[in-house]
Amino acid sequence: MMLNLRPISSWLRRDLLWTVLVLALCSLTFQTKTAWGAMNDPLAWDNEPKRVSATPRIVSGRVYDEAGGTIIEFFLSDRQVAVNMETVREDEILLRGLALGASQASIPSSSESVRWVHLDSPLAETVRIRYEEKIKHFDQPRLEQRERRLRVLLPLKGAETSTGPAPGGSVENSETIRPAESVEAATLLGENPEAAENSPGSLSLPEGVRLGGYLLHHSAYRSHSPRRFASLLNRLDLNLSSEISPWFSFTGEVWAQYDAVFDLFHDYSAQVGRDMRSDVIVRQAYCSLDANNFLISLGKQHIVWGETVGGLFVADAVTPKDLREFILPPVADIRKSIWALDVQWYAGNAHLEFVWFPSTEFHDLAEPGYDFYFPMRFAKELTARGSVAVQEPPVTLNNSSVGLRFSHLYKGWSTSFFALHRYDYFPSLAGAFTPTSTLPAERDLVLRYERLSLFGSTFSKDILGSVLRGEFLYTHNKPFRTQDPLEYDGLVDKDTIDYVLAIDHTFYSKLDTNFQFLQKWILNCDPELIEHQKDSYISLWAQSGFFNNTIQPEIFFAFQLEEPNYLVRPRVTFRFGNKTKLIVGYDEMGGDEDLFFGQFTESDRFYTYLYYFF
Amino acid sequence: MYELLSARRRTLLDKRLTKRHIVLALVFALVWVVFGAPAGSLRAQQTLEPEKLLTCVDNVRNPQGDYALRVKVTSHSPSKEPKTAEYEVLVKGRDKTLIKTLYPPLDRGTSMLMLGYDLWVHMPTIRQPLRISLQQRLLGEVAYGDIARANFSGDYTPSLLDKEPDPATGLLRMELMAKNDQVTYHKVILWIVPENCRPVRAEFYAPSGKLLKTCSYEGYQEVEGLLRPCRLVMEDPLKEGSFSVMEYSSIRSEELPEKFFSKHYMENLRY
Repeated sequence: MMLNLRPISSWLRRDLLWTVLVLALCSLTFQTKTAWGAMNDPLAWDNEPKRVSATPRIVSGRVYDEAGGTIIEFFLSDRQVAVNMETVREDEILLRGLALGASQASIPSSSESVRWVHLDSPLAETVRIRYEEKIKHFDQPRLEQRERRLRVLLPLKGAETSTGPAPGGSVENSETIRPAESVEAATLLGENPEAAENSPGSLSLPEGVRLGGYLLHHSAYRSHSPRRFASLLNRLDLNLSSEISPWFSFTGEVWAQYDAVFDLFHDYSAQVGRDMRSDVIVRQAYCSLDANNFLISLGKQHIVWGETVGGLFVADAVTPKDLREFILPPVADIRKSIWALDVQWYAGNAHLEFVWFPSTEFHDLAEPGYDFYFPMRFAKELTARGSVAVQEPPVTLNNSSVGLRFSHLYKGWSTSFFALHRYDYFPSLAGAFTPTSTLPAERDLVLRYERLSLFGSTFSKDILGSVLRGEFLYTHNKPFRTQDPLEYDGLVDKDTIDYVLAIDHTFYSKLDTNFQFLQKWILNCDPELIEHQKDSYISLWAQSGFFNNTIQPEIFFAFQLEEPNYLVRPRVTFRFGNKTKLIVGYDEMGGDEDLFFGQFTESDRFYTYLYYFF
Repeated sequence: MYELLSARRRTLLDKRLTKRHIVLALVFALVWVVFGAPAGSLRAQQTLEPEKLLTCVDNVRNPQGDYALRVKVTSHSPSKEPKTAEYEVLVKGRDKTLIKTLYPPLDRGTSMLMLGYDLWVHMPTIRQPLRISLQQRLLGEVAYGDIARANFSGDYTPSLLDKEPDPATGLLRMELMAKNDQVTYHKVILWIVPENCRPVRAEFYAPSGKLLKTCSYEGYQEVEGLLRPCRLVMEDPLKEGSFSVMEYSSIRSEELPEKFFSKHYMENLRY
């Protein structure tokens, strides 16, 4: 079994440089931040061992000014949590005892000498520490970091207390106990240890860094000839979130995946195998600067502008899609991320967003011979011609893309308006001009990308328990194939209107439903165009849940109004425990082979998705 | 001395005294409003005015203003393992709530934003904020509205079912009627301790009059200067043995940025 390294090398060429640049930028900022913190934070105890042990838990705290000084206040975890901890009796005893009163302790005025705070009385649920030095000159983010680094020593030597009944608990457990001689509370403030233990990304990582992800196995079995597995995909998703400071963070996500089908079955072409067998994909790698009303993100990221879901994209027009498996994979998997600069400004109910991105990514389309070779309007010509050259635009500043969106919420009406100037993510099949070819039939074909201007709007509103949604998109100068011999390259530019209207309603608090009507219009359509002037689609979706939503059956049905072709997707989601999810379903497409869904009639499949989150 | 002053100076002095009195009165009024009003609301039980009582109950249930807390929801069903979920809840003002799902891992990263009665959910599997309705179930007996809607007084019109507290229990019954159809429950019967505005028990009804669930307020602990219920037990009367426990912890008052409460920020929330 040989792993095909072409996609990996392609990734190296495509994304590695950008990833390294973003990581270097983040690292530089992080180091600057760390050095600054070490110089200025008198309570930075990075060199001390962290003695997090069986102790009362400090789960939150706050800092506020009061006459005569600044108060640093801690809240110990509630007693019910302690009662549930069967492994540590001292915790249970101590926390119950701590609920009996309050205590205050003073810290010496020289803040640098403060390491441990000794309390006169341990019998305090809320520990208040008077910190004499004014710390107003620190900005809020630094104040928060200071809180997280504080430690408290709770001396209990000689103290004896009695456990009372826990709130909501039983009196039967009451007993007189002698607590440990000394109990240290060396918990990082601001964290909930219990949540951290249970959380998926709870690996031992530096503070503010979280690593999580999932393992996925996806199987698909063709129900038409040849009856065999169509996919045996295994994927590792790793996502990293690093909060370098409250205002600066890094987010990364990588997929490493391998599909065994292309080594087990040899009826796919080598070209398809190279395209589909294995891949390493940087899904996200961006830094975020989050300050005041601004959020600025730079790097590879997802930018989603639509209101509706279901695989029929209209206003979700910023990022290209991976359509190698048509619209059948999960929506988030279909969307590709892009290298971009995203600047967002928040002002109450208004929101303004500017995006800039180089034109390096386009729709991923299946190679000829694969089950979802797409789109149908090229298939026959390309099949007859064999391979066709693809002309991607050079990556220059002039070829980059920009977009602007304004959103607003008023009396429950959520609306947005946007403009986008980018390349068409679908290639256009054009007749190329060569010195020796003058007639259209003799011209070489080429797939090339054309520049587009898009203007759109979205809305959503909750009315009488139902949610109304809509998206509208006007596209200027979209190229279409024409049979008009006077059109030299076989393409003609037309304006188009796409819109979708949707309504969601939940029946009897049990059945969630969605109805969508989508229409695509070509304005000033000529009879010579290969495409239809108007395509209308209706989709229905329904889902319910049983046994505490551990079993969720659902069905999605979409069909075209003008000509009969459809997609039906029944499936059931099973949740096993807290980390495992299994989806079992069937995709059936029917109709004329020249139509949107009908072109994949022979690609119906049973499928499973098995996720394990960590 | 005063008599020796000229008439003009006396007039000026009178004016100054009058101004000083006005300033003093204003300061006194301000002090009373700032410091006396909460005490006044806590004294509402003496007059048994339902609106003031309900506001007082809200003050006991949650800190007013901006605050954040963690909620652990454990759903119990007969002969089944308890199911646990954990959320971080951020509240700004009276009608802006953000719920971040921390646990279980399957749902981690899912967040819910509530602005007034407008709701959005953001799921990692979709990566975009989706508008949803308030009635959508969250987990077991707990609805989004149970966590997100922190104030009864904003959603319900109160009235007293009893003229005086029950002599045996000392509890007073209030009836809360939903102000509009978007509220999670049509009617609530609330048992409170009128002396300190502590809620003890609540029954939630559908428009048909059907009892949907009951809630008992337990685990009172001192939070932000008041004893507040930190453990809520919600039961569905039609499902014997099934109940959900909501445990509040890490309640802290802090000013929260306005942009956290924008649907566009949901993709950028940190977990």
